[in-house]
Amino acid sequence: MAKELMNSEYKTKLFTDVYSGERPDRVPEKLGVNACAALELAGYDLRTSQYGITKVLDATDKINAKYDTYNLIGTWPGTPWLNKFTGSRTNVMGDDGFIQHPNVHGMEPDEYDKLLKDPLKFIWETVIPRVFTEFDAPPMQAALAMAKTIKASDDINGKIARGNAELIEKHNKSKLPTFVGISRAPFDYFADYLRSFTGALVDMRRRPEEVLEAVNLITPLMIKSGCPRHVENPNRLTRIFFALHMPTYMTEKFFAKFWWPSFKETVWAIYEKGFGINIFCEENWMHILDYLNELPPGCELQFEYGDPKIIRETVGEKHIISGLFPVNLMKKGTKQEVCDAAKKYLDILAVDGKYIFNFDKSILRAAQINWDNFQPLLDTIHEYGKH
Amino acid sequence: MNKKIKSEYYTDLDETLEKYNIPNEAKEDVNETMQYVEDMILYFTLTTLSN
Repeated sequence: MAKELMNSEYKTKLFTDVYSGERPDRVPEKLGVNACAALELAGYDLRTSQYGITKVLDATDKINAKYDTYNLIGTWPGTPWLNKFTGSRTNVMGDDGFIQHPNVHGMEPDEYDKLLKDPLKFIWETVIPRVFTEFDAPPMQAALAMAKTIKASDDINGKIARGNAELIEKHNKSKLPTFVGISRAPFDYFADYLRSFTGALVDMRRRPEEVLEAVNLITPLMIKSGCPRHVENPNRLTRIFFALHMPTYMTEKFFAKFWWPSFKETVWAIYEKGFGINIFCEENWMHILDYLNELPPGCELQFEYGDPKIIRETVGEKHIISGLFPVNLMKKGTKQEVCDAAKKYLDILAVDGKYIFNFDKSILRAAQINWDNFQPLLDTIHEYGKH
Repeated sequence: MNKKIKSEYYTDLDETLEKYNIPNEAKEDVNETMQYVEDMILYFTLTTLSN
């Protein structure tokens, strides 16, 4: 039987329907495949190809020609050109070309008074030169490095974005952007960028009032970050993405006091500006699932671990569920096992249209899965997922 | 609760008009250009330079 041909408009409508609260004709899928996996599949060396644009777009072209996903996959590799212009100490190319994130913190424990007086000033004058060596230079050299960084970010990312738009047309993919901006939970920003994972958890116990004040001062910055001006008419189809890092490394008592209130405030403020919200709940959220019902309706919640039935029952009425399908099955499983598992997840989660099929976490490298399983998985989702 | 950002490194629209001595009548126009850049640099700071 010939496969049903789905054009770009049809695929786009699957997503606009689910984000608009309508039941789509089929379960949309948004399989996470990193550009590095695409580059490796195309035979390119990560150590060199990520410095350019041509090979990056060629790899994206090749992987999307081969697999008829609803979205453009294999996009947005690491940006070593940007990391060199900034002298980033937090984004460093590993020996195999994949970008690593050494544990570098921007703020020392005795710098709370400077942070709390003016967080942005502290970030610009202390943290940025500390984390990015090219800005720790005499004024005009630092200014030149910043000019190159901004120009590169705008122009090179702009070229890649235009290239991706052409590939979306060429390969009949959904035209709805996965997200239009990103933000962070205020505590995650404080931990990831300022005090580090360990430093934040230690300070939470040793200097709780200062940590709380820091998080409260960071909150309006995260709200502003989540309402980017380049989006002129925010609506529920313009999604802001959050990846949540710290919650599952705290007890619920500390989560409820230090992490949750400012995150909830941030999400509601961005929602009230008109945006839609996409959240990647990293690690296992089963013990704190109920909190997610305090967020505005219609959030897309991608889960990494958890019981799909309980997740559906607890948060599936209010929100859109995504994630959970174990990407490691794509390596270890047979084609039949992969397809049977996909049907199982569809049976549990695709009951009312508030579901987007995705892996628990993205495919980052080509060797991570057996690619003979990828199209059969897609075929199963596309056929079995018809409502 | 919508807290204002108070910083030497960011000006909101009223502060931008004041800082650059621009008449209030140009508020809408400044919002399209200078304030747009002010806000996008803030976004850049909190995303690209916070990575």
